[in-house]
Amino acid sequence: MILHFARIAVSPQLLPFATVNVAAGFPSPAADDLEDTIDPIAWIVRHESAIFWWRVSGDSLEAEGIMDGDLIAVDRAGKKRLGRIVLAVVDGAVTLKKLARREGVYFLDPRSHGDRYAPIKVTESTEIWGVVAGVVRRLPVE
Amino acid sequence: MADPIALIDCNNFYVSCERVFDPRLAGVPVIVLSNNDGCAIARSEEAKALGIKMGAPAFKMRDVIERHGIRVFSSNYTLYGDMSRRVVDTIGGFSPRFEVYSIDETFVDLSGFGERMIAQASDMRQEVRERTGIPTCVGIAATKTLAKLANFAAKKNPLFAGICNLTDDAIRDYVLDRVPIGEIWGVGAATEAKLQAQGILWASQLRAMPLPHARKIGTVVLERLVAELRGVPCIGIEEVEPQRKGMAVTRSAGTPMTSFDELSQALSAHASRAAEKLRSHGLVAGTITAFFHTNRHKPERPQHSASRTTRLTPMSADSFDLVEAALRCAARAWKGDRDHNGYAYTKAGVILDDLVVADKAPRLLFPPDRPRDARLMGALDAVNDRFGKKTLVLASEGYKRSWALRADHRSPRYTTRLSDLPTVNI
Repeated sequence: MILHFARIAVSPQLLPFATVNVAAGFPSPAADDLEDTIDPIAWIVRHESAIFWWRVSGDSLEAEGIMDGDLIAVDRAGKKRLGRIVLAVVDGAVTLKKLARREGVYFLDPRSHGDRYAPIKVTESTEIWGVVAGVVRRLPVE
Repeated sequence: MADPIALIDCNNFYVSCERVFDPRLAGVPVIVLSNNDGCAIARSEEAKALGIKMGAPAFKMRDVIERHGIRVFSSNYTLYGDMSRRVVDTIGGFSPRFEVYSIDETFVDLSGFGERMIAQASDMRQEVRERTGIPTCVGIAATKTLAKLANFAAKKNPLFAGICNLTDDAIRDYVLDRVPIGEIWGVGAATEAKLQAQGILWASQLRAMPLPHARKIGTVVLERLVAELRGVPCIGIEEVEPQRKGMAVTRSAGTPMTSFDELSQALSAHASRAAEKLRSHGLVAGTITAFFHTNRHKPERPQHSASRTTRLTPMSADSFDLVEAALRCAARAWKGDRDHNGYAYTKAGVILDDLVVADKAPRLLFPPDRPRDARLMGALDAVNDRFGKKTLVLASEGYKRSWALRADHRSPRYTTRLSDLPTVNI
């Protein structure tokens, strides 16, 4: 596994989430009060102690919207269902693919544009490490 | 019957943590070395089979390491601390009462599960494995001393398939007949020698010893230990000699803590207590973890659990040092408003790790004047946090290092640092 080191300064930016008032009768006097902040990461993380973040390198899942450089939250407590994106260990290497079944055989399918990658047959020794619970990407703004 | 207590213990914990993120380590011999003196503090089963002993100095293992291609890691306590928190979080879903004993051992109250007790222990073990990737063993018994023995049996004997239940008398007799007294929690070398001189070699013999006789040989301490072996709970955790791998001081708060101030007071007390414990055993610690969490059994209330780990440089048993370090961890782990962040924390504690006998601790080239200027430590952490590990180090680091530690073999901090996340090539 190649590690790419990236220096990223993190400062959580929480946004005030104000109540939207629908004009339907008497407006609530509390409507101007700020409510809680929103935290989209918390929305992704359903089992905090079972979530591990990984960094993606490669483009075999572009058709699923998972791009090179994305951060993914992998949930080890997630249900391993068909059609889900899973982190799997194949021959000692970690990979990320879509879980599929054809004619009774399980596969780990790539989902890229074009056909540069082949499906991997799931064998006895394949370990499903976890299920992808969410994807985070940061775009340049400066 | 007394209430059953389980001890859930992570197998080769530090090695198991490394393996979660690097599948290539599966099935190969792996060892983890201590921070400072280059001794083996964790060994995979394969490394044990090669004859690597606990505490063996790295420079003496050089040949074996090279001959068998043993993978060597420096300790990565940041990672182990975070994995430990995840394990404990998972355990917390199985019983409302549990007590963290060290970074890789937790006592769990299993009373009230009745017929389902073994199934409950088995589910707990499975869920820890699923959620964290860490394999564990569970020992169940009427007292902590027996639970510790049960755990030992579960680890050593494949027959138990990872769970050993000593509340079953037949199993208890089978195990106690086969466990040497030296393996019993709280039996030190001196007591062991005294007992052996009397022909007492096995746990079952010690259990059968009349209490007054036990008191004559090893004071009230041994007497209580014998009572524990008979299923009468009477040993508080603090009274047991901490092992090299560390110990924990933790309490549930009487009233929930809602401000950073209240939490700080609790953690200060735990850290001072931990420092006292260290000093009473003539040890110093190299690593401290502070943790705190809300009540998991009230899921309708906002939930938050946090844990941070920091190195103690120099290694220390000084209350001032430990309290300061615990509070630095807490300050970093606290989220939101310090006066009121919307959470009610019901439990807090500290875990000490990397313990060594005080006079064996590495010396600093320039020992700090005491009381130390806290701003220096703060600045050091701030710099290293911002620019990465070892940007600024104390002169003691890298001093008199054995060969194995010259190149730092620490794995990335996979779970606590954005720049260290594991990469998946797809």
